[in-house]
Amino acid sequence: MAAEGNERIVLIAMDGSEYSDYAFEWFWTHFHKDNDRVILLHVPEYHTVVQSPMVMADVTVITEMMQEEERRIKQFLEGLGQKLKDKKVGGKVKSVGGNPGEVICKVANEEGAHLIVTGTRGMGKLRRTFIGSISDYVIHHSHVPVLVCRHKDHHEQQKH
Amino acid sequence: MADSEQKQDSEKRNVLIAMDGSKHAIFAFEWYVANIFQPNDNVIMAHCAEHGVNLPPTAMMAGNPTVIQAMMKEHEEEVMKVFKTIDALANKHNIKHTLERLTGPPGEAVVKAAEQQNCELIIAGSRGHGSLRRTILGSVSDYIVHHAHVPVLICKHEDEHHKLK
Repeated sequence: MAAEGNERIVLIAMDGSEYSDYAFEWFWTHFHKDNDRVILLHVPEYHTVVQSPMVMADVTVITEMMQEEERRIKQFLEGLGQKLKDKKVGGKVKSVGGNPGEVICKVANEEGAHLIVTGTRGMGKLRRTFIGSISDYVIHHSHVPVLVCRHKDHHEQQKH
Repeated sequence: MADSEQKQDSEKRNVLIAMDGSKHAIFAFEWYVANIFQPNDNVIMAHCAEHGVNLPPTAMMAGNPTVIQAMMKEHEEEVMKVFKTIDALANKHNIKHTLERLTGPPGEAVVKAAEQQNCELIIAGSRGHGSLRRTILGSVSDYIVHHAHVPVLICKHEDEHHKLK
């Protein structure tokens, strides 16, 4: 499994939250090596749109919302591509639907990733735990090392 | 970009590696050396020797000082053995390092030590000495990931991967 100075394939899970942005930046500042190949993985979840209370049985409304969501996701993915360009790093951006934890582990397997990087918490506002359910899933099920990047804000808020 | 190169060259990272002497910890260390290690790293290899309750109740109840002494001596020898293994491992890879002995419940001790020494990263294996194999993640590594204030790298041992197939 050791890369030994050859290229490392690193998969970074990006959900659009500040936590994954922080994980990306932390990885870049402290961890990355010049010949890393970075895969930015986004797992879009459409069901959040459909479950919104505003949606009645009106098909047009639902379609519109989904199109809006598609646009937003496309924009997000382009932003990720730009990040890679800015850092001048080889790699790619992937968007795979499904259960985030499972998708992350599966894609890591498929791509032969040497390392998975996740933030601590994602979009959920519930702050009962230090680490979100997806990061938790990934560390339990991944077959490769996982770097869990704690957001420094946590540190300050937990001092109370 | 000159900036980022400078950053990497002059940046000294304090890295704490939790070592319990198990093969998982050894794997974690070797993975770190092969993939993560940078020459400026300050590598702290921490071993938690005293778990807080290291003598079984029967010895205490027997109140026999010789027995207790013998057990403590044995325990101490085990600890020294682990430190020797860790030290040899680091030397084998030519990694400059410091050895640290922690006391208390392992998870808490590791998290606290990392905080006190301003570590930027904690590295832990996926499982330790415990033989309960219900999860792929040992209780200590689990604790560390949930309570640490800094990024944590969990190194999965290859064996797990194969045994579960």
